[in-house]
Amino acid sequence: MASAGSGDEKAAAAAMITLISSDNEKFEVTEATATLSQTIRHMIEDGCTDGGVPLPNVTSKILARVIEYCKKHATAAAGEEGSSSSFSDAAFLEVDRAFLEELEEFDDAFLEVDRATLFDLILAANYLDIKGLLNLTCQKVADSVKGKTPEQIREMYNIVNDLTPEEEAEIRRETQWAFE
Amino acid sequence: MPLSPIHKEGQTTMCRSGGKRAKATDAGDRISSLPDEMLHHVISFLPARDAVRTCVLSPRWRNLWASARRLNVDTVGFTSHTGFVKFVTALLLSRGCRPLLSFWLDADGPGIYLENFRDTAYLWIYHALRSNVETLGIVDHNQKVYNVVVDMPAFQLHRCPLISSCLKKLHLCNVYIDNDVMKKLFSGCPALEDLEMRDFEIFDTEFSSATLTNLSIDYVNFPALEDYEYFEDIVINMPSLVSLHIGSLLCSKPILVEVQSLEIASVSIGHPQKVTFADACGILGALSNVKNLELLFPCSVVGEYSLQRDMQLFQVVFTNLTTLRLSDWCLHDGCQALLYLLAHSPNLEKLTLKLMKHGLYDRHWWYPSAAVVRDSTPFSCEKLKKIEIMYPVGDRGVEILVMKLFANIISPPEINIKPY
Repeated sequence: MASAGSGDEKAAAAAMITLISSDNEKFEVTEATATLSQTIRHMIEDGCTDGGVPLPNVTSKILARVIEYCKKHATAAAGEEGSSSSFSDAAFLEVDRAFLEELEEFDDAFLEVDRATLFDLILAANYLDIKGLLNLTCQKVADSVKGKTPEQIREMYNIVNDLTPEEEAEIRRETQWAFE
Repeated sequence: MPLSPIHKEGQTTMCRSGGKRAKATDAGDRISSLPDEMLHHVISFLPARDAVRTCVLSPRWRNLWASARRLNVDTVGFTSHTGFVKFVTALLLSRGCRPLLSFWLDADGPGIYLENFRDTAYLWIYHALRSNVETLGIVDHNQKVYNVVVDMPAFQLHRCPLISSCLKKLHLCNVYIDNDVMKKLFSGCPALEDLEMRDFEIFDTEFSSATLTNLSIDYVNFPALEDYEYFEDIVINMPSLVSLHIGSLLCSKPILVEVQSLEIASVSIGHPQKVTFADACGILGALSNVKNLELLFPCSVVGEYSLQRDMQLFQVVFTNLTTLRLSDWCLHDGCQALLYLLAHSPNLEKLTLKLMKHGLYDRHWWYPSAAVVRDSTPFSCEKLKKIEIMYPVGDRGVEILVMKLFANIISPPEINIKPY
């Protein structure tokens, strides 16, 4: 927080990458933000980012949200220096805990979106290979399903049940152990 | 094509698409049209029973659960251990030997105790390891919460065949580990990188692994400390360790033998152990390469204080240290340990001192000497940008501390003091 000044200086000095959404809007982001996406990281490594990175699968609306996420999390990743294998994200120092809490609050607020946006974010996170965002969004969907009956889930997600009653009864017999 | 606006990072708000269309968006079955891979990912976050139950949603969902690569087996919702055992056994039989990335066995709930069906639980763990899991989590019931009702011992791992060439992460919580388990674990799982242990019961004293990079040990609730009469020292010998977290330890002190690759260390040791200054300095001496260091002792540090003997002996320079966080102990005898660390950490950027509440009454040991001008020469901390001191409301020692810092550091950085 207090070191925001130095952060900005670093950002200004860093290379900027231009991302181009499917509807041809351009977004200029720092390399640190962009490389949260493994897909873009590889493109940068291969030197194919001159003239901008076209992202034909991501609309400007979704890309803006994805960038918002990456910007916030890039700061967190900076401290980690690649060793992302720790259970606790290598950030258990108490100094970092406040920041982690802030990050969680950000994530919670970030997920306050309608279902369609949530699915678009999942697809974008997968396409751009942003592990954290993919986990976050998939977890959100899973949480909404947890403890619900199949009927409730179908209704919530407009899943059309085209199983015949006989088929459904058969599946339930096969997996009876999970319905007891 | 008309020029589209460029959104620059750093601008306060991005112009979101103006008139947000009301949600005609939820129409259609978006979830089922996700690719398998992503649905597997969603299912991976569900407890196993919820995951299996998705099979009746529609034909699209019928077999998805069986190829999801993460299993979270949880006792929540099961009332008897026979029902739970039946479910898990059927689950593992149904999914067969499809590969798994992670397997969590979580029995932290009332009524179902892994120790009641230990051999069956071993079989499940064995099955998971045979399925090449990279992450394994075993969580037994929390003794402190539940032993009021049933005095059931913690899950014993000593005969569990923990052998795998794929296992990278292991999380153990509320389990009992006997003397040989650690040794067998490190020799049986040569790829193990992360080990996290919480509230476990262990009487082993040596942790030796050539591969481990992250070690985290924490006691929060378990076991009841008054049950233990003696605490053995713990020896950590891990040349590849990058991050170490010791939340609290059921032994008298950690002895760090070979941890030269450590970059992040967070060590906090308190009740009921007595930490001596020699211990504190011994821990410090082993951490010479660390980048981020937190060394907190929630209780008083005891014993004869002698920086000469305890720390300068090591003549350590903390070349890589950028973030440092310490508690009261470093203030002893005119803040000698603190000043030593500051003078020997040429790249330190941020220092945080957390003064403990209890320390209010026994911190007299450094007040008198604070006024005495010692023959120390001021030094500069060129990279140090920020000092933060957190102190209990009413603790006047903080003023002396600030004076001390100003007297010893040439052009000191901003010092923030925060009462709590």
